[in-house]
Amino acid sequence: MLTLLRLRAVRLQHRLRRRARDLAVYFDPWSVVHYLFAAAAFGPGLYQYWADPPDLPAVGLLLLGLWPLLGLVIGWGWAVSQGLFGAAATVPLPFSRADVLVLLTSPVDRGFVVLERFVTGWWRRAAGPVGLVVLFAVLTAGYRAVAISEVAWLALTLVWLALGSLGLRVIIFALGPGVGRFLRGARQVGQVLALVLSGAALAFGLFGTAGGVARPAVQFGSALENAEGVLGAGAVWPAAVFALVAAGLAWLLAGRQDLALWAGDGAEAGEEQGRKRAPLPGFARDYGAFRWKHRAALRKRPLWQWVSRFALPVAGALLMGPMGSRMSGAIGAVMAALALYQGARFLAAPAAQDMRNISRLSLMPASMSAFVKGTLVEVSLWLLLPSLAAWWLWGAGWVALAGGPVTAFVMAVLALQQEWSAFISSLSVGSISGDASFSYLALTGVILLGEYLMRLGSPTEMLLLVSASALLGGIFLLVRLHWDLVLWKIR
Amino acid sequence: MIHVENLTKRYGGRGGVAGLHLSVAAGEIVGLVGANGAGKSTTLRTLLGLLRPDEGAIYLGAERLAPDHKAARAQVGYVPEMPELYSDLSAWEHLRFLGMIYGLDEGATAARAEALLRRLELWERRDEDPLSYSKGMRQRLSVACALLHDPKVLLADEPWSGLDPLASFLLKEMFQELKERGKALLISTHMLDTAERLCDRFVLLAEGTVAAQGTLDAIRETAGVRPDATLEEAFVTILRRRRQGVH
Repeated sequence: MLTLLRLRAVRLQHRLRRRARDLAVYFDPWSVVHYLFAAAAFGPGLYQYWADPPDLPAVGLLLLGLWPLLGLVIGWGWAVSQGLFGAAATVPLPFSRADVLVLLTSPVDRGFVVLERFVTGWWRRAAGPVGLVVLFAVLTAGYRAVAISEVAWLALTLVWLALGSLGLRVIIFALGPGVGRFLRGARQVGQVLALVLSGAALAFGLFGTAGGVARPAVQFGSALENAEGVLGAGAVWPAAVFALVAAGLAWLLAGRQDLALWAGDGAEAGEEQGRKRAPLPGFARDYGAFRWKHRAALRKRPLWQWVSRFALPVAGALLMGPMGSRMSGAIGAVMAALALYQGARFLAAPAAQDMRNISRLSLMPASMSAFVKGTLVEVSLWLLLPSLAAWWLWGAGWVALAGGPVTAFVMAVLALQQEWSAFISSLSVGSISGDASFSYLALTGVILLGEYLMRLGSPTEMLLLVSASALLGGIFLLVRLHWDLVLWKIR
Repeated sequence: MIHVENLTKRYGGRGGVAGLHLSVAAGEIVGLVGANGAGKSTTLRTLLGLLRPDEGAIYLGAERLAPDHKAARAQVGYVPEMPELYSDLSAWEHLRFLGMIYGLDEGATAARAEALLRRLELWERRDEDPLSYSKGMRQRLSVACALLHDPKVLLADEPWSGLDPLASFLLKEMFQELKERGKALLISTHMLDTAERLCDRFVLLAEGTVAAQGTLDAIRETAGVRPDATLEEAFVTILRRRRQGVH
């Protein structure tokens, strides 16, 4: 009996330790910041809802504010209920205190594991490009069709963002872990689905813009006129084609041409670089090898990934940008920023893999400085510079929307830090801290600030502050990158 | 070929290895054996330059091996316990990348890569990504990566861990061939029966120090076991005696 109790106590201790570890993952400092932001969004949203119901923006903010709380409640509730109804049968009666504690802690562990897998699963990758294009094509069409206010449109946008992220999670939760496993196994299916949906959404947007088939599309005719007014007649279609061509070119360039011309020995490109590498001394030779590896990895990305990661979001942004209103211009800028950032992450991923293999690389005669610099160059080339541009656009977009310089500053820094942590966490298995969907939380806070606090600021001021935030963000990125490299080296 | 003098590496005053002396000659296979936490990995990682020793010196031939000694490092190949491979590169691309890093010209890289992949029975699947490989295939690719630059010294950490009999046999054959070609091999392993058949000498680590060292006969003598005792029996006897405080 004593042995049995001891065994149970050990088991309990083990489970509690695991739970503490999981909690530590879920409530790391960055996540706490995000939760605080969500709470900040939730409070005023709730207030406005009661003060002036039913107001669409307030409902949107309310939903967004509730979102993380809902996630937690659903996650824990599901997990505990699974444990109560699923695990109870395996626990012998009568219950000891240890049994009860095990009963309570075990399902939470399981719930966290499942939650984590959902969050880092295939759908998040699929939701990005699909979401952007569908969101703006459909909502813009809807907005034009029902002629609601721009603020309501923005609220709908935010609701969509929330639902796009939360909804899938809840649905997969409801379907249960078996289905979750199946879906994870069907990652390829999800990606193909993402492509199909993206294509459909783009087609819808294009047809709509062209004044084509559906009622929203008819309403879109005025949008096209606006676009033509800004860019000149027939500018929208070429813009979309340009985006597609750009993606194709990027694909070809990654395989056949060396983009790092500024790196010193850039005249040697691609395959040629490989052949002429041996006489190159030191850093140039080592970096040439890393660069060759990076390109070799990128070449393997299928064309449809390039299209879905680049062409569709960019095309969506280009379609939205010139719609003529301040709102659509701002949204277009934000979309372009997201497209840029997502594309940059896609391109930087193979270089980032070096970080994981740093202990192996350190065994090679390649100098560590070449590796570190090479990785920095690669990550900078593919990630940092486009990211900075992305944040600038992002900031500019939201400044235009919310009209406040502080909004832009707070938003840019927040979004930057959490997106970067998403990138970093995507390199390590099993971390939720970088869930990209948290960016919507930061976004919520920004919108809130902009909506309630910021109605001031000259264009010059905005420009300066957005640029300053991008600069700060860049410094932040570099510090984080350096620190992560140090950490990897230590490991 | 490798000579280690008084190697000491401690983690905050605990663990690691202390006062380690060992040597591996050309054309010799030495087995590094010991219980978990005995200091095998610390020893290997220090030899590789991944850890900086607190005291002691490591020589490769007549040359002292410093962690940033690139020329010396190019003489060493390493097979990790868990193959660290690039998911985006095929087996062939792995070797090509390493050829670049080691400064081999393209022709030499291709010839050597083909020979290694054929020998390790990976040639037919050279264009596939390692994600599609079995554990044994990944380990074999890891061996190919370690040998591409034809190092004088090969260090291997649990190379047979999780391998099926065929892959395990192939690795043993490969190590034997390397020995016959005059390479120095230091292999850390828990598989004492395999080590007994393959290795010329053994270094038995316990709690960070050398508990016994030498040929199998010398180990038996240290353990005080019968002349036909296995390495495992001698190893366990020595460890038990140490734990009971009898040296």
